[in-house]
Amino acid sequence: MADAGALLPGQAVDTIRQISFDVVHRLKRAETSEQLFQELQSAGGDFGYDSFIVTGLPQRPSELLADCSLLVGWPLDWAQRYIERDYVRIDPVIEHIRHTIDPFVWSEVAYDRSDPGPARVMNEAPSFGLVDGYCVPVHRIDGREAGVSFGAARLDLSDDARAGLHMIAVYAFSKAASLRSEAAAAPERGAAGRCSQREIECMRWAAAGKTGWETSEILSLSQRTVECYLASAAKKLKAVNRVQLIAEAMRRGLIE
Amino acid sequence: MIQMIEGRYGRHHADLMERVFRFRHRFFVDHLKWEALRRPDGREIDAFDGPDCVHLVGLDGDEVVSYARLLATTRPHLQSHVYPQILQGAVAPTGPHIYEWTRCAAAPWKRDGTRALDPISGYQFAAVAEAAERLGLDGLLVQTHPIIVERLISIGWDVEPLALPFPYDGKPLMPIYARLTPDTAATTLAVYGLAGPALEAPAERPGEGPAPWAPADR
Repeated sequence: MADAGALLPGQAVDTIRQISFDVVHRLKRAETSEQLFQELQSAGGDFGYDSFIVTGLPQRPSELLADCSLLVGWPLDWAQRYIERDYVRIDPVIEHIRHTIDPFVWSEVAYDRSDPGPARVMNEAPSFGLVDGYCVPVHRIDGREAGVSFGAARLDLSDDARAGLHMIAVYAFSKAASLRSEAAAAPERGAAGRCSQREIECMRWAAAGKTGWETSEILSLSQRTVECYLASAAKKLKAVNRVQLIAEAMRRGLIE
Repeated sequence: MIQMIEGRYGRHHADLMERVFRFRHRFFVDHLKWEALRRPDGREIDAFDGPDCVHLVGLDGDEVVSYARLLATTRPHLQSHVYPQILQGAVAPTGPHIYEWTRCAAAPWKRDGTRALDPISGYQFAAVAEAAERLGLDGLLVQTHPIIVERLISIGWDVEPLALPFPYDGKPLMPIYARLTPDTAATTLAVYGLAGPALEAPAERPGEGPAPWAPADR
């Protein structure tokens, strides 16, 4: 048998390398998308990114980002704007993924600056805290493209940090994709996955950018009740946060 | 079907091995442009094609259409003797139950562009897992682009990174240890939508006794 100890990187490894291997070790063992999400969130502290997304790319014109995203760790307001305005079609970072297998920094992506679409995405992102980012393309065995992107207010990655994030992205995508296909293969159990009308209403207002308090005013419910509906919907849809919940609800056609 | 030929029995398959070396030259030199391997006689063959290596040869009739080579890690192999620097100081596992997977190829000129999944590649990948089972291996050392690491995981290998991706010839190369699981071969076939087995049954060799990897009760 291979000695597991022999698989660890050599002695005298510097910190970011060791951290990268530790993160991969935990990603491999994650059993839920919540664990995966938290792991990627906490690794941000070590690598200096503030937000992230793990997503497939739309393969057909009818497919939305919400249909293929796996983990959405963008700031809520940016994610809503991005999904609502279908920026996935014009984002030059997304377009670049389709043409390369090597990781890249967003600011290195060449795009036609006279084209208002791509320029809009790139110019708006910084005001949502996404000044720059590092993107790792994935090209799956069946030809489908995907990517993992890490966004930051200030990106400063050493060569080792880039290599470490490259490796982390591969594992994050693999695990997110396998958890998603397990979830898709699992038979629907009872009420799980089926949302009530109230839950759907709350999600619809959340998707429209309303806070819990605003939604409670609109629906004449207490704020606490609104939060409860959203929490139970999140549980049913296996969403780890508000953004994921909205994306998943859209994907399932529960809300527009 | 994929044929498994151990290096020590290569002389019994001289014609086929000749086609294998020409296929490797066409794929790695002409197609992938690994110019360092270019040879005037058009045969890609190196010091590692010895008695201890295992050739996995994909055939379409008489034509070689895919290939992979497994090297014993108890002997010099690529990670130990060609580019040890990509391990960046890490120690790779070696031993009688660990081989190194090298020279993986599926003819792009045979690819049916209308299909997302290339069955030639699928059979070749599945054959590697089946051969690892037949040889009683725990896993395989591989060095590859990280884009391939995701694919190996998706077809059922339990992949342990050995070192961070390292620039080699201008491209990131990642040394990994791909552990065989009881489901690896079946997962690969299922992903590609193929029926197995991919590997041909072991050939009988009258007068030579059973091959070393043949079950003891044969």
